[in-house]
Amino acid sequence: MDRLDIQAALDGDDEGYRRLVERHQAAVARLMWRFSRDRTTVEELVQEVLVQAYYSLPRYRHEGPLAAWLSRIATRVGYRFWRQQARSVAHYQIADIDLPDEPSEDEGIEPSLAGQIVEALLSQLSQADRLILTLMYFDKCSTEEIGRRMGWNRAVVKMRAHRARRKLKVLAERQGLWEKLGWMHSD
Amino acid sequence: MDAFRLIDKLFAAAAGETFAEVDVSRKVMRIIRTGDEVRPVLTVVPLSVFAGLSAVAASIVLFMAIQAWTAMSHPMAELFSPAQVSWIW
Repeated sequence: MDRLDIQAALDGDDEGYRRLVERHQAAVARLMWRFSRDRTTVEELVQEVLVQAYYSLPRYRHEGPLAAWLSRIATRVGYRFWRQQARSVAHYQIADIDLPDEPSEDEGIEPSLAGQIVEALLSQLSQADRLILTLMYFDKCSTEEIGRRMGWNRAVVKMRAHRARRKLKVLAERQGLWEKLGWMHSD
Repeated sequence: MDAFRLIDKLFAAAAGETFAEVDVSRKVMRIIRTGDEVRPVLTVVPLSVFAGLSAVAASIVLFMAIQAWTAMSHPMAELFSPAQVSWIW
């Protein structure tokens, strides 16, 4: 189905590209929500991805699904957004989040609260580390896929992922996160 | 539980977060349509205008230079004569 619409778009039929946008925008938006929690920003990022994809369409080689190709563009757009924001946005701390007064007995956590905590932890890492963990956990990317998307060496991605997880551990412990959540942990 | 497993658990919970849907199809199509009209105007026209102006300016300078050169009785001597005058003063 994508193949026909891609051809139509390349032949100048706008409706072909509109169908592609309508089919893929939700998946692109799901990824872009990991780069910003602000709806207006997410809309702008999704828009940028899909406009960029349109102008890059003549270079799409049908070597994989269109969704994977769009994810690659989306990752680069999101990463560039983080880099542009790096100097202007202050780090978001665990202390800024409204954690429940009583820790949960079953050690469960609301997904939206978990999302805020993850965002706060990741915002304290470098953009590259943050991107690697975001893609690994939320887009289920292997180190190989992350390397391919960003043009990075696979071994470097693997090493950075390991180091980033260690940094997250230190950050969580330093801010007493596990105690605040009532999650028992051992070293 | 090991701290790394707690991190995995936190991320797994965060992955279940649902977000508002966005619909940018109209905006994207509008940008593409206007972009198609604007792009050639923005890229080709300024380039050709500046290239044209540069060519005209270069022609004028070349014309004046040739005129001045042919008007000189001994071009090499006249090149150095103003320098000699300045040394005397």
